[in-house]
Amino acid sequence: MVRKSFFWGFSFGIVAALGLFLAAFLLNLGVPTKLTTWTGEVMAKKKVLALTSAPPRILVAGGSSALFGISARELELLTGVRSINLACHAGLGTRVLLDFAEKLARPGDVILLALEYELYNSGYFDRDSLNENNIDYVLARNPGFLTRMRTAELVWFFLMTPDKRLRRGVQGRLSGGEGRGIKKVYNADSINGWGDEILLDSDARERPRKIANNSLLASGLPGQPAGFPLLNDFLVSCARQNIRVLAAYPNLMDCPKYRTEIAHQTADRIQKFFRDHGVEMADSYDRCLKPAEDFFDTEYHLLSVPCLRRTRLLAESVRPWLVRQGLIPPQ
Amino acid sequence: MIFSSPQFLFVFLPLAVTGFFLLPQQPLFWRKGWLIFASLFFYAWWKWEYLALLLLSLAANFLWGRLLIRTSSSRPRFWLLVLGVAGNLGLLGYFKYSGFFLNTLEPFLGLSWNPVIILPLAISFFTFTQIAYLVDVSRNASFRYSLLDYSFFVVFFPHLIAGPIVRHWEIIPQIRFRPLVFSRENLGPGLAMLVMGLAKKTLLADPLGRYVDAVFHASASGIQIPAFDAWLGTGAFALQIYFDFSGYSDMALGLALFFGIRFPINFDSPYQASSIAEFWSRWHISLTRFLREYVYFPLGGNRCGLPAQCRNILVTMLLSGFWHGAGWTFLAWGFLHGIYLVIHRLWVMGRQRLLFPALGWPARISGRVLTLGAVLMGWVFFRASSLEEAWRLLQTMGGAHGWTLSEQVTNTEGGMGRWWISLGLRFVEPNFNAGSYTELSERILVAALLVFLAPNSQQILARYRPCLGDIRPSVWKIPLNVWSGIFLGFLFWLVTRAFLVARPNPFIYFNF
Repeated sequence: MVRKSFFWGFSFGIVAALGLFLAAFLLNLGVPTKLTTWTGEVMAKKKVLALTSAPPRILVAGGSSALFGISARELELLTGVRSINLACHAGLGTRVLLDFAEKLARPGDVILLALEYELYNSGYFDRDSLNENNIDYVLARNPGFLTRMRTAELVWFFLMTPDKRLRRGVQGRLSGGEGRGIKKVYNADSINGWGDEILLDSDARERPRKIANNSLLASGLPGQPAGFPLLNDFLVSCARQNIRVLAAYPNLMDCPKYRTEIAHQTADRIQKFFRDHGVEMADSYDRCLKPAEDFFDTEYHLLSVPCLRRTRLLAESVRPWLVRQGLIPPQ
Repeated sequence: MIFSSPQFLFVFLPLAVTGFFLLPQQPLFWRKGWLIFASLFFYAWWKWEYLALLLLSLAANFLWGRLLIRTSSSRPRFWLLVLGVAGNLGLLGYFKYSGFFLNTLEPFLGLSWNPVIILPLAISFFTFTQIAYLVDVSRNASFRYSLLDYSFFVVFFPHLIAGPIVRHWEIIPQIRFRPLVFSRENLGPGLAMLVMGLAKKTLLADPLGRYVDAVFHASASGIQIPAFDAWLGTGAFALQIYFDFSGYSDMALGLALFFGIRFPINFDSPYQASSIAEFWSRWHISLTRFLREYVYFPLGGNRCGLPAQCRNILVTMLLSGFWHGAGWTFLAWGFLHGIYLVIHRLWVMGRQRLLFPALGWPARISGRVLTLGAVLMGWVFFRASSLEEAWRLLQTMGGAHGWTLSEQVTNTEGGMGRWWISLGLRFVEPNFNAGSYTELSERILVAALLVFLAPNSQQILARYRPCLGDIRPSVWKIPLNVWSGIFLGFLFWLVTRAFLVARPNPFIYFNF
């Protein structure tokens, strides 16, 4: 005999589970965890830098390739335009990184986009673009971001938040937070007044025995890269706000598989995308491929001298563009 | 459309159930017709072009069955049967095995013909189902059914894609003269079976599958994986395939119950078996039954001398392997199980002749361990992409490349690390992405506890008779009341969330 109450219980079980999950989710908002201490603090510091300066500025946006590979201080020195490095951890995804730059940019600013190749395939929040880093970052450090998400993104975000993360957040809420998770080098204290990382040559950085070369540049972008619609909307929004955008390739460790036909096609597709949107591309992709000895822990992270070299090369391309834009006088 | 997909659970199934509920019980045609239509739509969702193949096979077998019934003399009937079976096997052979044979013969015949043949979904299942029908009809002319009933039996969607391999005399009597009833008595256990099956698939099998894929992919790429990962990967695959397929079977049984149909039991806690023969009477029971009745018995079964019995076992198991996949690894797997069964037969006969006393629980325990070890070894062949890869993995498992484990498993300096080292294991640099070992070990532990100690879904719901066939008694039976409802509702949310966020992961047996 199957009682009717079984079906009521079943329905109640679903609703109760959903309610419990939602309650745990809400309890997580704004509770800092150790995982995103570095990203949270770095971004907070950069936000202050951006809010306390006025346009016109060059705001460098991207992942850690730009954070460790472009010196805003050097760029400012070479171009004469106030520069701030807003780049952070690429694991946050294109959605968070672009939102961060756009929210801090003001009319008259220039956003210099130097996204890692993977970021061109990371779009609006969904199953593929959400990961433990951006989930943790939004929940712990930037819950206000939830209000700017589309409905579908919000649903994905809600569904994709792992149980373990929810448990940690609830525990953190009850115990007053997890405290700071600071590593020797990944520390917001080493961000200077331009938003640059200054401890690029620290002995504390552990150089792995072998750095893997697995950038998306080698495998190529899919037919419809997830990042393109997001970038499209970003560029439209910037244009509406009179924020100029200039794009650059990320610096990457040189290796044969990044010089294949597929790699060339990938770089060309990115260039074409920007060209179609009226955005110029500073530099060329192969000039951004650097020798292995220029990197420390991943194929995207440059050491300090290579970082300066790279910035000087970049500035060579950026300067004429700034002149054309009327932001600096011709030499 | 797989059972654990949003399209199936939130669109197709509700529509199928609603249509079934709204249509009148009498005349019988309406509900049966609706379910046939829904089943054909379900099949066509994969590739509508192949629907014609299914319909052709159905129509041809139905007509052939009629012809067999009308043929009264035994000799023509025999040859008609041979032709009918050959036609079915020819179709199966063309779609499933021609690539394998051409590849095998290529070096000998110098052929360079490599046709791209897409394996039609479920062809092994609907072919076997219908072969059994033809054989039964040739033996007993009273199995004369209407086209509607026969179509329902062949295409009913809960069993169409990956079994269980149902028999006409199990299904058709349930629908022939009896109205298909939509009732609480069926829906309750059906829902419970469906949720348990979904949980097995999405919460246990799929997460284990990610590690299994990493291990076997690394091994196939020529990476020398640590011995620890070879063992863990094989063990994880054993659990993955069990939860994947038994989860699928639970879902099939549950879905059939929604419409008042009972399927035969297909899994009965096979890893709790204490002999390899017992394992095969508990694993994919409907296939074992088919092979026993339509291959092993016609070959002579065990009513012949010992050498012939051994030959019969080997032939049957080789065919079982070949049915699972057109490849040498599947043949090796089938052959290996044939050898196991032969050894078991010899052991049983020897024990009977020498009048060994029953050894009680020590024998049962050692039997279980031995059976599990043998089955694990077989799974290496089943999962590997080539015989070389399987052999390399087995060598690694046997310590031929050292007793090693990845540094990612634990802190090599810590207590656990030292303990491993004291056992003679050596830590090596990680050479493939295994993910989190902590999470993996938790999953394996939960899965292993369920496999070895917990009752199965049929036992849990035994009081509602969720399937045909005997259910072994168990003290763990749950009533379907408000509390079990809440628990299952909760589980359903977890399952729904898991399959919504995971990438679609087809059932392993969909490939067969």
